[in-house]
Amino acid sequence: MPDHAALAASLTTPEAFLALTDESGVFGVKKSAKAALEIWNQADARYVGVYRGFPAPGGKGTGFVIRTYWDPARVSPDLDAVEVAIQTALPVALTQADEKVTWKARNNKQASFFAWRISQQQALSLWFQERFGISACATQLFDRADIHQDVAVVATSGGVDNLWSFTSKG
Amino acid sequence: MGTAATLLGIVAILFLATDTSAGGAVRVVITAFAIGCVFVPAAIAVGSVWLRGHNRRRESDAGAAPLSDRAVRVQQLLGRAAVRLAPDERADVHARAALGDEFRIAESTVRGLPPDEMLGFLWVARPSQPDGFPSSAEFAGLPDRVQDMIVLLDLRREAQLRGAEAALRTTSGVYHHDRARTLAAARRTDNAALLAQIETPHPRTDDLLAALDDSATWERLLRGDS
Repeated sequence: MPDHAALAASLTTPEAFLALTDESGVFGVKKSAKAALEIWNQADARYVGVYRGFPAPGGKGTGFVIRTYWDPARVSPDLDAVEVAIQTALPVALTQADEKVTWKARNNKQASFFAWRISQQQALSLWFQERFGISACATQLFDRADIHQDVAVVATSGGVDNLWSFTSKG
Repeated sequence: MGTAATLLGIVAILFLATDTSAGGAVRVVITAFAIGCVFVPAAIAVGSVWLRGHNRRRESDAGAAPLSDRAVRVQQLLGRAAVRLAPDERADVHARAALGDEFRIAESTVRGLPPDEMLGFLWVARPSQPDGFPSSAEFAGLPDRVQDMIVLLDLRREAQLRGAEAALRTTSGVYHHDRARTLAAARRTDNAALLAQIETPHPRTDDLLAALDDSATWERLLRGDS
């Protein structure tokens, strides 16, 4: 497992963000990195933790992905149980409703970094909080990376989590 | 395989329609085959859905007798056949229902489990049970020892997620059981440390978790020694 605390400590310049991202070739990424540093510095609470994306039923096209994220220092969920819950117990209507909410709330100005804004009161996230102590949101599956990434950078301001995820190297 | 059945049925019907040289007996066989291809997958899907609903209704009825082994086996077989024979669009609906069956905690799913697998199964499947599981007929239909295991596993989950104070004081939540029920389960374990933590006015999370993780307690629960 990557050293999450060390990663958190290293996020002090836009270059640090650029070095970690999976999407370093995206147009406008340097500007996004500066904005990302702002969001990170101004957050009420922040941590670097674990991200896991799970494909979920009920979507069209590429389907849904449930983006789960948590601070490993506080909770260690059983990922098998999470997988089973998503495949059998998670109501599809909840996923579909959350996907709409998450999409509308997204940060349009960020090409990369902190694109997802998840309210801590969103029903899907509360569903996972109650059962596993992790936060979650539902979006379309945009990229294979949505499933393979494993690090979550979370900056919370005013009850809203700004989520950025990437793949740890080594 | 559902698509394959449909295609074979179409081929058979086309053959019957266009090739008039085949004799009477051959035509009967091919006709029967075509009808089978069209109707059997649908019949299996309908049968599977009906039997699953029927068995679940019986298990939710608090007064009914436990399901027979045969009912459980037939439901499993029909479920698997429905997944294999469904047309591709419906296949994942049936697969999801069949997976739901596999991870449902009820007397019929728990009865065959050896002690080595019981704990793992309960731990993984528990968060996927419907809301209100602790007061459901499915929970009440479980053997007493399995109920005790679930009560203690849920207490452990709550203690880890919310801390010992909240776990023992809260009155609602997915993993919540009545205090009386929790005390009864703790008393039956003969684990003095656990009972002390539950009854003390200021429980401590570390101590509660350590008491719950006592392997001797779980050995007794799983192997059924009294």
